[in-house]
Amino acid sequence: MVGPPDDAIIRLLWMVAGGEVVVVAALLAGVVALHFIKTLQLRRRNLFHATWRPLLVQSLTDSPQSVPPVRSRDILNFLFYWNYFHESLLGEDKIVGLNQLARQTGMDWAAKRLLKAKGLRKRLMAIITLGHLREQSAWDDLAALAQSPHPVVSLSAARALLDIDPKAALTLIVPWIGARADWSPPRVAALLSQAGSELIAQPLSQTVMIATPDMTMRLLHYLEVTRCTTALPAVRSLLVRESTDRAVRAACLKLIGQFQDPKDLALVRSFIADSDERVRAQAAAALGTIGMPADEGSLIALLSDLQWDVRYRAAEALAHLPFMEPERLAEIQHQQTDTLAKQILEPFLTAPNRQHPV
Amino acid sequence: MGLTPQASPQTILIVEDDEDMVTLLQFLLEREGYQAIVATEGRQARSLVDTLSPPRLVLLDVMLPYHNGFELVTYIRSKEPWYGVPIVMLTADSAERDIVRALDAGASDYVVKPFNPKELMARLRRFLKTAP
Repeated sequence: MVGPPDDAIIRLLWMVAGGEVVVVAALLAGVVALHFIKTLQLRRRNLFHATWRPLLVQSLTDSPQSVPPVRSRDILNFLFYWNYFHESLLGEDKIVGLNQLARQTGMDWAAKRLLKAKGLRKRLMAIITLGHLREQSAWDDLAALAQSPHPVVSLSAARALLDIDPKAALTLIVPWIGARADWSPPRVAALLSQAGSELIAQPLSQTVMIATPDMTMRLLHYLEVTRCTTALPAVRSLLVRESTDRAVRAACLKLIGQFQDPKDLALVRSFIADSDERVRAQAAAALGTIGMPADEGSLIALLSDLQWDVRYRAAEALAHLPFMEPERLAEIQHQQTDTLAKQILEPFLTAPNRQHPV
Repeated sequence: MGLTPQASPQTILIVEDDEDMVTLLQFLLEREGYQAIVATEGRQARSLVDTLSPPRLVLLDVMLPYHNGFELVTYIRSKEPWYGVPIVMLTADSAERDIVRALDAGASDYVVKPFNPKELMARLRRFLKTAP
């Protein structure tokens, strides 16, 4: 026989039902609140755009007569768009106009305050802004940040220093470039290219002469990618210096081969029989770009080198010599008594590539 | 977007999906007395090509939703009333091959981003002087 429902069970069911109602109501309230916040954000964003976009664009050509204050909640937005216009346009006119607007609105001070912010995004925004503003008074803070262990912060600060005073910045930055293996090579190359070959040649030349082999290798790589031919005298000095590391010497020869200055022919020839195979290989490669008919013999001799890399570079260099004809290359192969020398020339005979791989 | 069935003789079509860039280009063009029509994606641009009379010039970004700039150049060059309209393409700095591709597709000139506003306007003026 079934008795009347227990009061305790009914109370429990009521509590469960009540709890569900509360949860659903809370969820609904959350959705409404989120919608409200989103709408408010969108309205603020639209208001910000409506106010500041025309003023930012106008500042590119003439200084706006009066500007409204930038609300504290809009500072990051303002800096974002201000930097966007800086990065999207070239020319001194836009720099003057945009920078005047930033100072008019007190954004120079805001950026300096943000340098000490905890959030990475805020600090990066401040660093980039101060660079674009060419804010000399932020130099020391930026120089300190350029030595930060964080690669993005430090590299951004280095770029900002370069924007402010390229010559002074390069004196500081170049040794750091050599030391910082964590800096993105394409970004560093872009930074150096932005500074220009003329400006980077001297600090790079000075630093390669005193840097450790690891640092020098890194700096030589940047000389290569920025095509900084004005630094060639330093590379030549480094190459002939008695104490220079063998790997660095090979890197110097690689660079000389890439820059293809005929004046370096005698220098390159002097390393063709070096005791280090890396140096011999790069000397052979360099001869392939600037060599004369007289160099054919020394390259042929290297076809029988004990090291595969040297043999390959010599074969490649022979094939790419500007005056080398396929018939002559075949003749050279035919004349070889050494099997290794014959073999190493084979790919260049079957698939001759007259383009030099620079 | 200003959609009008008849483009005025001083009209320039901007095809660009970046709103801020559109504001900037519009400002630069309107300051010189031109009226800018804007399409923010490829489909919209094609629809304008189908319905509008040809503008004085088309300023065309490469990276666009639905149809990229190269497709649009080819499309414009295949449309009888539009085929002779000068097209200046806006390309990204790192994409040199885009420049070759744009010119091969039939673009009249290109401007690399970031650009100098004065240089952009000088390039546009070169075509606007000769355009009918």
